Amino acid sequence: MQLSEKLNILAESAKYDVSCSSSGSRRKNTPGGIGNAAAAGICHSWSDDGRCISLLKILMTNDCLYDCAYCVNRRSNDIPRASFTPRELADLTIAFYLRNYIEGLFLSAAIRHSPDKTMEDMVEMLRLLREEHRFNGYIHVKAIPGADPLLIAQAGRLADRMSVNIELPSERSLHLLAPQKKRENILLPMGQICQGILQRREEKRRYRQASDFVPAGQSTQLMIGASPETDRQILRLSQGLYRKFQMKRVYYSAYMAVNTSSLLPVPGGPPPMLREHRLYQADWLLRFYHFDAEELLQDEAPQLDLLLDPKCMWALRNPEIFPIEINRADYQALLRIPGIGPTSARRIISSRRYGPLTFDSLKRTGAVLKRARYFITCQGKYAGGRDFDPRRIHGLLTAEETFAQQGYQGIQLSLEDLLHQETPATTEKKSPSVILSRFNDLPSVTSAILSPLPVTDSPPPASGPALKSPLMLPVKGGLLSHEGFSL
Amino acid sequence: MKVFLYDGTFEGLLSALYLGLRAGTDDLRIEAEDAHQPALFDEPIFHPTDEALADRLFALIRQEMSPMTLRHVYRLHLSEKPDAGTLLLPFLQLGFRIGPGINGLVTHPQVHPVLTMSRQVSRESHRLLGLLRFQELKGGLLYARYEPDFHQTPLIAPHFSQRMSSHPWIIHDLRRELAACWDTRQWVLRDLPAAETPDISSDEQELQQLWQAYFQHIAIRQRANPTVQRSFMPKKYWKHLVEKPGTMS
Repeated sequence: MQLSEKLNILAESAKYDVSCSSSGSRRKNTPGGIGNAAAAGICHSWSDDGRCISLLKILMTNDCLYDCAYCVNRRSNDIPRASFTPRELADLTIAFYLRNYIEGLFLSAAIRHSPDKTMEDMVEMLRLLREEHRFNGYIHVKAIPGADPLLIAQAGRLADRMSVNIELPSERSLHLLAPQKKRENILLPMGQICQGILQRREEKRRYRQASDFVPAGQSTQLMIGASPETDRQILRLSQGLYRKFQMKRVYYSAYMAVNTSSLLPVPGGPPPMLREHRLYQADWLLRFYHFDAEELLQDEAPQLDLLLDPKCMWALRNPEIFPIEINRADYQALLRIPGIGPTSARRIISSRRYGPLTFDSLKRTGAVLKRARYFITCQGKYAGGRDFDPRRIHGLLTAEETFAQQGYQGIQLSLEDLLHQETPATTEKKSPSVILSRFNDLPSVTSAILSPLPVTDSPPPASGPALKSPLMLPVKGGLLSHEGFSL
Repeated sequence: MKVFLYDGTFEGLLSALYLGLRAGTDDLRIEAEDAHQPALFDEPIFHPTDEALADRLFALIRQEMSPMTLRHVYRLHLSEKPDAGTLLLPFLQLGFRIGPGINGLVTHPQVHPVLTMSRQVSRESHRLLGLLRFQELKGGLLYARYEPDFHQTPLIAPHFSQRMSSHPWIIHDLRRELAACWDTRQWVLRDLPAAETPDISSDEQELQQLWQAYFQHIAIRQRANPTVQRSFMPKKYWKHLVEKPGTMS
């Protein structure tokens, strides 16, 4: 089989793995060696699905012994199978690396004969790269559940990051959809890697020369939407993984139905990408904003809101701490404000040492005032409209978000099309209001703009009646404030 | 308004800034000679580069403010924006008053534009560390061409000299007709005309095709998202990429 054919098949089989991060390791180049690792990570390209390509994400083989219901590589699927020899893949990695296509290798594999044999081949491949090619770039390697702990330890000494994918967020789903995988076999290597990392960290404290063990930490992946677990269950699991196993990252992967099975969603439907996005937002809140999973989701509402981000939802459920005075709040309190993140919170604190912040200077910290303004005061002044009323704010934020999710793109497209058709010769810049006046006699476009605004037909927020205050609608670029559109 | 002109070098900028700071006035612009566009009431004065003054200011910024501040000054120089020197003057005046805290004063009207411009430059450097593409020439030399918005070569060359230390390479800025050349011991910046098209090695084309195919196969069709792709990897960089973004069939 041609090398190119193998590469295509094995990339195709690897693409559902989400992780592509190359951060967290400071591996240095050695004399006569190739490569190093950049602590911040470097993305080298972005594929047509908008995901970054940092590592050469590839399987050693897609020839699998197992028959997991959700997996594209399961034994019972009739797909082309291929395997790399360790040398082929090592040479290819080096050739790509020297041309600066990639930051390193993300090596995974299907279980071909046995977990031990698979892990052995992978370790051999890493050894070839590190020792023969003297490659010092980034390597992320999967730990194969059920493989000998000695092999896992060997891989850990050669790699920068390791991961064991959980995929199914509960034991019941695992039993149902991946009967050949056992919960213990997943947790065992995870625990071993975690122990190894902690132990080596301790050793490094005493002898700086101690060799590395998975210096960029371990990660895992959960599938979203293949099984019935709620967001609350998923987030609590992630939090447990961060706390118990010191995970660097938990990745979420919107399930793409690739197989027909009575246990799974039908193929062809769109993957639940918005849900995946909200889970990532919540995950960030756990890791960088000191939130607890219990704060974000309660038993009675176990799913994340699809319309508003989890932090806004939390803020609206806890109105008693808002509005927060930007000039007095400490770092932890600033982090709780929607629209303010670690970077802008740090900037707020460092710049208010030299004098109080105004709304104008707040803008320069990078805070997203579009959201933040409802939740803050600046030198006692409130800029979020009448007063701090969670129901009103919920309505405003929802309207804005709906507009962004559906309407705004629609306008942009029609706007460009129209301008190209009507004014091919003029090059002068037009202010939005001039452009908008063109729409007055174009009913299809106006309805495209107006229909998604849920002023009257959105479900009533929390409890109480829906809000009817069209004048207060926050609007991107002032488009709707034009008199051509009466709401 | 008085305008101090310098020769366009970093040392020239520093010595002009030194003289500007000593003049102690706000009513002053500092511009590279080539970029200067005289206005009606301008009084341009050319100051030849004085290495001693440049060294002095260099050391003072590091001492009184911080190495980070010095990095901002250098990045503004590399931005090649005509107003870089003029923005730096009040920034440094303030810096000498308040010291290292200047880097944290992000909202101050005299600091904000400097930090913003510095960030623009460093954002492009970081992007290019990933987007630069080398090809192997006959004889094994690695050659990369690119057209950055800012003068990035001095910022990214050290990264590649560490990463690919045992391979000689050339990074060629076609827009400025400058190239960084690494001979496995040191890198130097020299003039190199844009027109030259070097011969590629025998394996090169096949490897490029492998990468193009990989790029196609790693994308998930059902998740197609050109908007995100373009926001991270603006189209202006596509010309020198090997892969062909935006062609998912």
